[in-house]
Amino acid sequence: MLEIRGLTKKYPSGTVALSDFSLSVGEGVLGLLGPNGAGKSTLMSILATVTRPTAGTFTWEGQDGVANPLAVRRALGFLPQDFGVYEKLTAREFLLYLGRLKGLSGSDLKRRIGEILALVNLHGAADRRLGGYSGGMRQRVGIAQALLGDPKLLIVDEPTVGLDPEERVRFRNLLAEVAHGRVVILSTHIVSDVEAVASTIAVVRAGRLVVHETPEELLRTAEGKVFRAVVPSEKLAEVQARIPVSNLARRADGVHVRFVDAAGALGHRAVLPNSEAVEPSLEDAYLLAQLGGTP
Amino acid sequence: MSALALQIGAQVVAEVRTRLRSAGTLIALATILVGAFVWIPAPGGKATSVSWQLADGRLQTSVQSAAYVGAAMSFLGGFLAVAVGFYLVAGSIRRDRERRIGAILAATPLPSAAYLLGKYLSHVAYLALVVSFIVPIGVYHFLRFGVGPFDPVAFFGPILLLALPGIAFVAAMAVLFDVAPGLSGRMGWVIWFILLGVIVGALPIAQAKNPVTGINDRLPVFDPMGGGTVSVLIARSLPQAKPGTISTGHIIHDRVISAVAWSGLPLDADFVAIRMGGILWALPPLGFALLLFDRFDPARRRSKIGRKAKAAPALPAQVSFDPEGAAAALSAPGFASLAPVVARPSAWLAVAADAVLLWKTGSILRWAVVILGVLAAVLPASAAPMVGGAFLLLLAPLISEASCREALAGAGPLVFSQPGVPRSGVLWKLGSVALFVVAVSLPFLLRALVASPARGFAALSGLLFVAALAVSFGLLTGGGKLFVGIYLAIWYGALNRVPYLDFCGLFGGDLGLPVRAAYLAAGAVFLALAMAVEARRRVAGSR
Repeated sequence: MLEIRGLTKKYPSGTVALSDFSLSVGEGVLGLLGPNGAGKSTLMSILATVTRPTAGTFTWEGQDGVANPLAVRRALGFLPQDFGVYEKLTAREFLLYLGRLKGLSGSDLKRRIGEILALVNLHGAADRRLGGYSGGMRQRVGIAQALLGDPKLLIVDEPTVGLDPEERVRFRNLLAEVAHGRVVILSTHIVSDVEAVASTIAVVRAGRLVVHETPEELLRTAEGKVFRAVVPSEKLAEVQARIPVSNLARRADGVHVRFVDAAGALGHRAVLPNSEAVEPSLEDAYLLAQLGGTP
Repeated sequence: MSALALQIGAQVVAEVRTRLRSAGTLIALATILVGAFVWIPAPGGKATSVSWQLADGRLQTSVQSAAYVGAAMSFLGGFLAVAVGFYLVAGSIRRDRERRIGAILAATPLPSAAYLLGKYLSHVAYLALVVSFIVPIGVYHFLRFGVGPFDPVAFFGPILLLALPGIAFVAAMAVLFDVAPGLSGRMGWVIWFILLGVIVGALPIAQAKNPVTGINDRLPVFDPMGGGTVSVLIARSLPQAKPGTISTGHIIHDRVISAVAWSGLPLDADFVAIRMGGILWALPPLGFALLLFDRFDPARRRSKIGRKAKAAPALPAQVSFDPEGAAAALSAPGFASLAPVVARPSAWLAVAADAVLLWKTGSILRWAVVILGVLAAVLPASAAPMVGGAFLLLLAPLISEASCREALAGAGPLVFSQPGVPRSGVLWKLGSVALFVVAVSLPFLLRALVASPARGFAALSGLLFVAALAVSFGLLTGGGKLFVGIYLAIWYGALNRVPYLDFCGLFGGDLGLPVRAAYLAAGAVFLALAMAVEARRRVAGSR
């Protein structure tokens, strides 16, 4: 449904945010993972037709999204990472405005706005000015506008930022439901969000695609490469200097460290002879991908 | 240097640096260079900066001495500092609030007074820089047309003495308006313009009038722009002039008038003392600003506005777990069960939606504009310029931020990824602003059309010119203030019967097709520039 071919984006400052990025995305949720500055938001912005790439293109159901952005916009629901709202409008008025820009009108639009506001749990605050909304409520308005036009391509950048745990779970469930018959691209730093809903995961590093696999495949690549050990406090600094520790916790018997080591390349056995392999999590697999430990 | 002085200094540097890096400053400085070039007239033409009438009815002006050019620069400097300066610097604290920088600043040890003082000093520094751009044009003018020796005191003295107190006062008023509830936005811009009439005109003139002789011969104590002071000083320097016949500014006569030697504004101790003392008029608005400043605490702001804050309800002593409530919070109504919708995106619908948004966000001003538009259509023709003038005045703040609304609110990616929005944001905004302007002006336009097709076309082309100016300046500068400042300068010129500035043909200006076509062409040029910048931003990914 969505074909990305050789996308490159070089900003006037000289920063290359994306470099020859190619990917095929089908129905379901694509989880986009990567560190800050990896190029995720630039990719989302290009796919949402807000930013033009320097080179390369992408197609949505066969239509070129760079040459013909309207073809993409007709199918698109977009929630940017950092967005503002018109503070003097109510949520209902704001959605009415954006709905008209999407081509919706009349009673259909009004009914739809009522339904979507209920969906994001804002029906009780629909007629309050957005200037008085909390951060989480604004985020839900952003989610509402992205879903307003019944999009076939939903692009959401850090959608759960500012949401409380209940709303986060609620939104994840909603994404999983929306993904049926649609393409959803979810960019986030929260690996557990991706783990919960993603059908495939793309790991991005320095503007390039590092891995594109299902969560199960990604987990398999991390098997046998994740370890746990108990380290005396005084030895912690030495361990941290040699091994990338993914998690540590101080306990009565010492410091419990968890770390990844692809194929023993780091030689951790020399430093921590008592370490033992453990079941990898998706976060471990992601860290391994970032460290270059997956093929 | 004390820590406080360093904090204030850092604030001034950051603020001035931000302003100097904005496109708005470049446009403002370019406009000032061109405006100063036009304002200071070349000798031998019909325009003068100072003229007077002798007892026998003959009109005279001065030769182009250093004193004359210095006086001409000072009139423009005073006008710029007070009438336009406010619009160049107002909104800085509002911007900190909207971009949530205020909350970060509020959490630092910087005292509120130091924050406001930093803002004030940065306004003063910026306005001084802007006004100083008149000087190169004055120097060029003197080098080309000057008569007699170059007297630096007569050349630079007047602009320093007239502009500095104006800058000091306006910078303080901009700070006050920024923190006063209801005055920090577009409503404040209009209120300031109305206040200007009192500050610039009525108060100085009332002070200058000698109650015994009835002649304006006393130097006014409160005169930020210096207009009243200048008229008294020039009258003192020209005893041969008939009382009440001295004109200053950019005066266009119906013929070339003779030029004679003139000593210029007398820079005596009285004048210097009263102008330097005028800087102290900045203190009351700064004091009020400090009283009103809420330090970016929305709770304090609400409680100050109308004292409407109610006591918060008491929290329950114990919170019990509500399993049904928790389950309800987690269960969302199914997205799949929602009825399907059919979208038919169109540019026309997007233009109409944006015009409706302009109306909805127009505050109480929108109603004032509609009422004035209707009044301009039904009142006798003699009242039309006055009512129409007020209508045109209030129109400016309503449309000033139409093309930069998304940038100001940070809603650009949400809006510009919608299928109905045309590829050219400039043309989209032009459509919506023109639709809005024509809709609220309909009675006024119909009246002009019924009066004569030429008048109707003049009104329509003028309104389209205003729409183009608002859209292009908003997009180029990312704000509405520069448009409002420049528009108000044009409006003021039209109101004062400067013939080529009567953009709507409402104040006796030329209704001919060439003049109207020139307005439309000027609008098209500004739009083309805005479209070029928009295309560049799109490629850079910064729209």
